Amino acid sequence: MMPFLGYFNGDFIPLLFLGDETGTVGQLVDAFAEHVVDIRVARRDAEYFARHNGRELDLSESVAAAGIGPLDTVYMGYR
Amino acid sequence: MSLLKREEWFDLSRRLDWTPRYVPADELFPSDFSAGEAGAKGDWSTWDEPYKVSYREYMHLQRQKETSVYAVKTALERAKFLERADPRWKAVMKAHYGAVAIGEYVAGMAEARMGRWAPSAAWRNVSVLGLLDEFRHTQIQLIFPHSFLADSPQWDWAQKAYHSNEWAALAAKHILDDMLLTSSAVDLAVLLTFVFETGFTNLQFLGMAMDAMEEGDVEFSTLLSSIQTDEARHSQQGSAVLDILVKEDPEHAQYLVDKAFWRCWRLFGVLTGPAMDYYTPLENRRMSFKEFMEEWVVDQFQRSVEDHGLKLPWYWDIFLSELDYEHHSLHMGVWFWRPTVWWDPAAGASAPERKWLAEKYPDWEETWGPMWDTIGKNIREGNELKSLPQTFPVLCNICQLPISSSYNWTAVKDDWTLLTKDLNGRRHYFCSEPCQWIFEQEQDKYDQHLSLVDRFLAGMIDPPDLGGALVYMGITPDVSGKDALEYAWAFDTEEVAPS
Repeated sequence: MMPFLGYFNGDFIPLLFLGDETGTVGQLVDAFAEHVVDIRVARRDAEYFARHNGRELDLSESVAAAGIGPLDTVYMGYR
Repeated sequence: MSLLKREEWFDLSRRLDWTPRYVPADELFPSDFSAGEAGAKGDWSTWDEPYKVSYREYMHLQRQKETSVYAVKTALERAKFLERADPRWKAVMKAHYGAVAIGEYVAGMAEARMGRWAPSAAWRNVSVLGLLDEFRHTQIQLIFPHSFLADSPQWDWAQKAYHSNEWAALAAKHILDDMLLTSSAVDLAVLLTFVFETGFTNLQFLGMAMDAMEEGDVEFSTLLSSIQTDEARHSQQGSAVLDILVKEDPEHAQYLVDKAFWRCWRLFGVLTGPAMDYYTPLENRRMSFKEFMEEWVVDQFQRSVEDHGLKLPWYWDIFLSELDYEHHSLHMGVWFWRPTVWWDPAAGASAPERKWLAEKYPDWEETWGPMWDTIGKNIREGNELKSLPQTFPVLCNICQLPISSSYNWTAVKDDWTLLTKDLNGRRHYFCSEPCQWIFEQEQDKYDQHLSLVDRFLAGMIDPPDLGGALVYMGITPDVSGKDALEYAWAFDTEEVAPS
């Protein structure tokens, strides 16, 4: 597990999160969203997006291929 | 023999400077502790406080204040105010005592530093009275909550908070250590007495005193008013110091004012903001936090700064915009992470309260309403667990408070990132440009401090989860915060638009 810092659009606060660095970006976003969606942000029938260093990520690519390193910040939300 | 008139002896009793013969002057008053580099050339013999009090007069006045405060305390113990006190008001008092009581002792140490190192005897005399003030404040703010211990062990955090690793206490300790215990006498006079006390203590000691009186809490109101009359006197040290410092080094004077104002804004934003706009029962609120800030802090501070020939801080526009959102964010953070604090926070999000908030803050409903809707829905559906934290927020490496994503809110719409600074192999995070700027001005001073999140990442919290963090912070189950009204607010939804 790798620590990273995430913020989900519509929430009020970024969070420290331990995520699986061997999985895909989509899996990482799904796991992070469990701390936000239906918690403080209402669930919507929409796809997620993820951005890192100003670049929109392909949710199917691996975390490593996306270049997300320890304590990097990832911006997520509903598309 | 007739007695001298006061005006004939007063200056003789306060201007006791002499020329040392047994030690060099710079050993008696080392620069780092005394005037510092910025104030080294100042003519401190001209230092003059506007309100002059002799030691005898001081003791007479303080005795009267003490008699008055304890008379009220004794009378109200009979009335047993606490038994009928609103739980939300208890939250105000518990947060206050934990955050302030031992902080007053630290302020006493700062006054003692000025009493020893200040480069003027007249000033040192005033500081000694300030030292006695602050120790009195510590004592009465420890003895009052002590009498409430049978009600809840949370009151014990008046004593305990500053001796713990609890996150809010760490934030308070960081600012007090920075400004009060590691600065020269000249610098801390500006940081503490000009900005902290002249600029901000009105918020907690006048604003909350008014709310306390509305709440019927005469004891707390009397206590706060008794303290504020002392603050008003000893805070004059800062203005008198600025009169001299601005002539010698206006750039340094401006830096001190800019740094202190932002640090105080963050501290009072988390302490007084939620208390005024969320904890105080609606029917007893006289002003919103923003209105109180505008009247008692913004206007007065602006006049004070201009009177000394200084400019408003460079981040003034950022500060003014934060009046609309920062404390709302901090409040939601405190409420959601309520198991980590020593008081029971009130959500303050019932339908009538949200209507009041929307009147005072036109963007409130659009910004905060949807999140409180989701939280309230979970509560109503019996999913309390979803209203409790499972992970950590990111903390700012200066103010030590949770970073709110509402900073640069408009920019967040398209993209978002954190303000960071890499230094000595470590990444530091900041809630705002002013906090980052403060870090960069004295980064050697701040670099080694670890925020609670840094300590988590360094393996100092075991097990590395929220339960481990509670143990690390010293928060026991009987102290751990709960919703003040046992979620009654979530069922008062009449006026809330469906989400």
